[in-house]
Amino acid sequence: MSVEIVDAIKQQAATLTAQEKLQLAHYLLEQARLDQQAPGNKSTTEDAQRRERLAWLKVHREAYGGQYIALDGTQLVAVGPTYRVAREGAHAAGKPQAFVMYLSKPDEVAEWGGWGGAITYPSPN
Amino acid sequence: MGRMGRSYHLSFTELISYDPGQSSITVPVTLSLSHDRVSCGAKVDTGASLCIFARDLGEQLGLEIESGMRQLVGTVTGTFVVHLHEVNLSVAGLAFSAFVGFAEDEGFRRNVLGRRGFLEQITLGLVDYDGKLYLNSYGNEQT
Repeated sequence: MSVEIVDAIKQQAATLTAQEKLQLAHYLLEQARLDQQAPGNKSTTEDAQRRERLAWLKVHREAYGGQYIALDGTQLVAVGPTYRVAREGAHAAGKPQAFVMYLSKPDEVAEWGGWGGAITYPSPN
Repeated sequence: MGRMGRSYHLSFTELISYDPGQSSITVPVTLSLSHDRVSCGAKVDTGASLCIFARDLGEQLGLEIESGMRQLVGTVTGTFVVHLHEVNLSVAGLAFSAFVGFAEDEGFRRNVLGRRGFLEQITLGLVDYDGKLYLNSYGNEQT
């Protein structure tokens, strides 16, 4: 919306009674709240949160690598040697919805497990 | 049967029937991000540290694969590289946020549900004799 339209609305709103201004304010607040809850905005927020969390993990991999961590957004709320300990730590911290995960050390090699014999990628060289 | 007078009980909310005649226990999985979702089959592997998926699945979700956290994975014949990303992982009626790996190599076609991101978040029961896999979110058990 252009600045001109917003200014015009403000000028018109200035002529309203106090009661009408309050009604208009409530209406605009409700519209803004609904806009923020729209799927597109929610998705954008989730995407941004994932990116921020990934950035946090990269920065803190050296410090917390080899442990399970619980993150509320990008706030560290618990650390532990197992998923259970980190999860229970998050609950104790009042953050039961925290994202709990294992953060590997920078030089750690994960295990591929029982299907390793069938893997052909990449070449051993 | 266990010792006399002792038995163990778990409860599950999900049942997946798979073909016990196949060489692996493969279950349907859906990966999703805010705008996109992709479905595939994945092998349940208690010996795998991570959940790992083919690169193209991550690309279909709109991920820049190499922007994830680089992780080396060891096999009996060598190593390969995956890049870890946070996604929504759905198996049967269960859904989690999980940090999973997408293979760097485009030729890597195998999808695996391993411990981190999957097994650690669930209770699992397996009756391979019947081709039945029982699942529940951990903490969701009925007593």
